[in-house]
Amino acid sequence: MNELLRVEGISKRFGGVQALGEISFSLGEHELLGLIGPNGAGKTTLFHLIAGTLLPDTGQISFAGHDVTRLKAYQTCRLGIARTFQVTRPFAKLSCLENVEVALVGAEAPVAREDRGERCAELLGLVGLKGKERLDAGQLNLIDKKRLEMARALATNPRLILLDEVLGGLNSLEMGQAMDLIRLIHQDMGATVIWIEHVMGAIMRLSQRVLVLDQGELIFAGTPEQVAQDRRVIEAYLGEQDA
Amino acid sequence: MTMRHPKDSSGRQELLPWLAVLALFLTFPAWLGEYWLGSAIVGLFYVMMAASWNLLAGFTGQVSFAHAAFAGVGAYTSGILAVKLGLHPLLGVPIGVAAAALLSLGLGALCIRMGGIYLSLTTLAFSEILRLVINNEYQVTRGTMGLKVPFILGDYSKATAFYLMLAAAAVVLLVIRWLLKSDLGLMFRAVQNDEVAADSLGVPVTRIRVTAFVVSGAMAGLAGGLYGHYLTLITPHIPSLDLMFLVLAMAVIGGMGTFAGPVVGALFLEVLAEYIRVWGEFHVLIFSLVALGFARFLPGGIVGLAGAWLARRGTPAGKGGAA
Repeated sequence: MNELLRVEGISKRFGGVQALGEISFSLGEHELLGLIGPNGAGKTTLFHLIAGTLLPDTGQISFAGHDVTRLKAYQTCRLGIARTFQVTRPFAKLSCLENVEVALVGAEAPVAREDRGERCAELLGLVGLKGKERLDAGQLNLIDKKRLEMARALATNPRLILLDEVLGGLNSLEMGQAMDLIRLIHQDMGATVIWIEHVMGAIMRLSQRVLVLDQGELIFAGTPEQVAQDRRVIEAYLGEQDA
Repeated sequence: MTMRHPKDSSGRQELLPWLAVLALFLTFPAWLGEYWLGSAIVGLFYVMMAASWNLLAGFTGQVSFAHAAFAGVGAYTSGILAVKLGLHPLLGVPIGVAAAALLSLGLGALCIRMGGIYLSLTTLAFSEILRLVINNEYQVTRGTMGLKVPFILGDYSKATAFYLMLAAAAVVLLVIRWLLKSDLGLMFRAVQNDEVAADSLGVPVTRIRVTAFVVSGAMAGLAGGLYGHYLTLITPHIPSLDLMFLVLAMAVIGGMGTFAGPVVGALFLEVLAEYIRVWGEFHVLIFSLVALGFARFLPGGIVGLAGAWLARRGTPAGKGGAA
């Protein structure tokens, strides 16, 4: 498997809090990597660093042969890293269509005007927002906002897509739809995926490999089966067992 | 192409009221009288100022207090070139526009990364610095006495000044309209709505903001230059905070973040100002209070109010029939 992303010893400190300490891992092309860990483990911070929303204090990140450590988010996006946000960030006063169009315009080579309407409608249909194209994004409910984030991220034609808790707050039917969509992105579109999720059943089912973060440290990496057996992971989630 | 931009769908139709207003304005010199024609010229100056400030504040979310200062840069640059070098105002004004754009670029590159309140404070400081320089560089600017400059074109005639201002205002509004409908306009609005999200989708946020800042500053330079050569006396009133807050009040009362808002607000307040002129400086205070009220209770301004009223009556205007 070709290596697509390599993270070497990156760390990030916010004031007195070490949010991430010296994390290293690598990711193969077309891999679906699950990223789990308790709240405050540093998962979203890791996404911020990879995407370039924040700069790491130390370490290096390379993506598809480029050193992206110091690049800004719009630059990493143009190289093929897309993301969704845990707390959704829609352009509230833009229509759903325009929300997606921003991604088509922001590309290195913007998509031609006459092709955009069709492309936007297609992506919105894919994520299940058909019929809501003209609504302002601010009017959507949480689930639809998450869907819109997926459509926007896909509109950038990503090679690597960072999904931050796309299942949170969904009912079981919606969860099934969202998982179908992730499968589609990974298998049919051939994208590489890193997926943060708290819904264990889902992440264990779809991930090929799982990383576990706890208090800013990478405590485990392995297959879903191995993770479920690991003592450190169980301790991180449930606390240590008194002997 | 009917799927895109709901606000686009009535493009041609939307133009009609504007053409009607333009036609009406074109007849002004024939019947309005000297006094009100002067007021119309000032009104057009404010239209350019409020509309270009709104491009920045209403569509990219950057509240700059340097807008009047850039008008002053345009006016003084052209004025000084005319007085010291005898340059014709029609050559001087474009140079003034370039100077305003260049200073916008410098100031923008310096402070736009800071964003929010820091941008506002830095632009406020810039405005004050410029005022102090103009007041104290008496040899060049004639300080508070004002700089006597030649009339814009040929012999003094309000009709000439009016037509020039009208043409300039029309061009400024057309450029703003075109920008807002362009890809750049979409990115302006994306950056205003959520810059982190825009950044993550490939939009170079800082560059977009600086672009808006420079375009807006250049437009203020144009407005200021023409206005100065109409008055034939350029005083520190043009780059003053008084004027700045008046422009701000016009944009807010008319409707910030809408295309028509600042135009309506500027003309409305200019006419109103003529009637309450007897109250002297108090009119700025009153406008500011009214603007505060609008910002709190009617953020859509007059235009938002009119749009809501039309929508209630079931007329497919305002939103272009999309909603």
